[in-house]
Order: sequence, then C-alpha cells, then structure tokens
Amino acid sequence: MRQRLGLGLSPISDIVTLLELELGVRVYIRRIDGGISGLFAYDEALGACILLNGNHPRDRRAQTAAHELGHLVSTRREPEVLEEGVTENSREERYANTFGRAFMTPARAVMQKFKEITVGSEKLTRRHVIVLAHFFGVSREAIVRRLEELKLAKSGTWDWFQANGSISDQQAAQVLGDLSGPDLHKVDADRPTTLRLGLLAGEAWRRGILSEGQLARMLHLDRVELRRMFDGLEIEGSEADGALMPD
Amino acid sequence: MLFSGPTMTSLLDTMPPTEVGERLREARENAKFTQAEAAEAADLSRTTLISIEQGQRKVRIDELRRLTNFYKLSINELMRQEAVQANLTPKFRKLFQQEDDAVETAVKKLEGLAKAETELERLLGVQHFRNYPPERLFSRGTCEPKPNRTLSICGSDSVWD
Repeated sequence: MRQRLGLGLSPISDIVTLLELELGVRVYIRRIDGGISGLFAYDEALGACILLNGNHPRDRRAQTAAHELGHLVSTRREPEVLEEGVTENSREERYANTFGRAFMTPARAVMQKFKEITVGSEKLTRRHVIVLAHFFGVSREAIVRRLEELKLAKSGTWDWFQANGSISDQQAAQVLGDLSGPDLHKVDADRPTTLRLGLLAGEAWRRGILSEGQLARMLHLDRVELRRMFDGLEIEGSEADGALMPD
Repeated sequence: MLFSGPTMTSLLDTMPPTEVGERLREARENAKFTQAEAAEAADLSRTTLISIEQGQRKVRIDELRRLTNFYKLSINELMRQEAVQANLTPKFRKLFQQEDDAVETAVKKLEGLAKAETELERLLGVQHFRNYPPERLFSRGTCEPKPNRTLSICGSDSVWD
C-alpha cells in the first residue's frame, strides 16, 4: 500500500485526504454517539465508505481510518462497526489492527525516529513520547504500545506512564507549542464535510442544480453549517470566483 | 424553481409504481413516521398508503404532494432520477441487535452521506474515481508482527505493496 501510494517510510499527515483523494474511498466525519469509533461498508453502487467519529481527537480518528483501510484490503465485502474499547479477537480484527499499526507507524520508520529522538538517552521521557506521537500522527498511547511491540521500550511502559501521572495534553502543548493544539482537532471535527463532498456540493450549488435547502437536507447539515461551508464562495456569477478552465 | 427536467406528471407516469412506492416508504422512514401517521396526515387510509408503498396502486399527484409535504421534501427531491437506491443498513443488520439505536443511527448517517455524494456525482455528470488496492485474502499463519523484519505473514505485509 505504501509503495502503491509512493509513501515510503514517511508519516501519514492526513489519512482522510489520502483515502478520499488518492484511493477514492468515501470518508465522512460526524459526531457519533454510543461508543463507536467508526464504520466501514462496501457496496457495488456506492463503493467503499467509512464513517469516523468527530468526537474523537484527530490522531485517534487517523488510527481508526488506518484500521478501516486494513478492512478495505482484506475483508472488503464485510461491513464493520468499530467500537471503542472492544478488542475483537477474530482474525479479521487482528489483521486490520496489525495493518493499521504498520501503516501509521511502520517498524523501520519507528526504529529510525526513535534512535534520532532519544539521542542515546537511557530513559524514555514524556518529551520523547510526545514528539514521536506527533511525528507519526498517532496518539501517545499508540506510539508507546508500538514501541513496546517493537521491543524498543520495555513491556508495560504505557502502564507505567499511566500509573505515574500519565502524559497530559498540557504537557504535549508545552512541548509542541504552536505545532499542536486542540484547535486543530476541533477545526477538523467541526468542518461540515470532508473535502470531496464539499467540492461536489459547492459545484452543484454554483451551477444552481440544487438549492441551499436541498443541499442542507442531503448532507444532514443545518443551513448555518452549509453557509459556513460556502463562505467565501461567490454565487450568482461573480467574475472573481475562479479562472476559466482551458478549452 | 431550480429543477429543470421532465414534468412531474410525466415522471409519475414513467417511473414504475413500485419504485415510487419504495421512495415514498424510504422517505417516510427517514422522517421517522409510521404508516398510520403518514396516512392520516395525507388524508389516506392506512391500507391505501400501504398499497401505494408496495407499488400496487399508483399514487395521485395531489396525494404525492400531501405526503412529501408531510415528510418535508419537495416532490423534485423525491422523484429525482439521479437518486441512489443502494442500501447499507441491511448489510449491517447482522452486526447489531435490533435495539442498538446508536449503531443504526450511525449506519443511517453513513448511508445518507454516501448516497448524497453519489447523487451529486450523477447530477454533475462526474465519475467516481476508485483506486482501491487489490483485495488481499488471508494467507496462512498468525498475525504476529516481527520487530526485526518489516514484513510479517499478514497485516503489515500488504502495507508494503
């Protein structure tokens, strides 16, 4: 997959856009209740579809997305509900989990970055964890467990952190400064639609094929959210909205 | 009026009653009304509504208007040619219990959005570009990752393709 996408060992900065615009998977982010991390389904007419929970932070959504990508690869025809905190032991689940981990945090990349970032230190500090997690775009827990799995950290390291005051968001903010921030998570989760859907909706609106009300209903948004999405888009034939396409 | 196309009555003539009925049933379910409630609102008997939804009786334009009003849809929206009839809910059925509202709500959201996107594609005359990887079915062996190798028997294997 990484080779197919020309990713090599690089971290995945935006898996949702990758899924949407490179693979052509339909991805949506909405706030979901009920302890659900995500859904995956495949239909002949619709194609592969993924729903991620907008209530989860961005790195967790990325991990869910990577897991669902594993399903796309292996058990495409079977739908899935990924629930919070439920560890399934089926082969399909283990595959998707392994795939997800390897996709977001490939072993060789983790080993390399780990060496660079810990610079010979004897201890794995919170700062190390924060930076590594940020680099790979995964949660702090995910990166520590991956380090344990790859035997770069002692088994039980995450539990140790949890028992010793954990690694807080405030600490992460201190280390990362401008690079992180709850704002980033919030912006993503509150964006009314994912990119492709927004582009299609914008074009339909611009061409006058659908009204605001119709679009709002179709996309399960209220008019305020829809207008926010179209903010900045000129309507009714403004000259400055865009350049003409070549013939 | 933004919709331009064949007139409503001609569409009503050409679309098979079973399809009209199916769309009405879906619209009613999306609006979360029972057949009894919808029938009353549209001034129909319940049995009449049932036979309309099942395609046994053709709906009349005035009845259609009353029903779509009640469901808060325009007739245009209901009758749109590009509307997608795929359904994800049945696929998920075996994964959730009947009482599992949260899952059903989430599935409906996904279904609604996917259908909306597909419908927009059809309206815009746009193809959905798909670039899925080839399906990798399971091979033998366990899914234990091997730290010192980048490949394992499954899972991370396909990551490298």
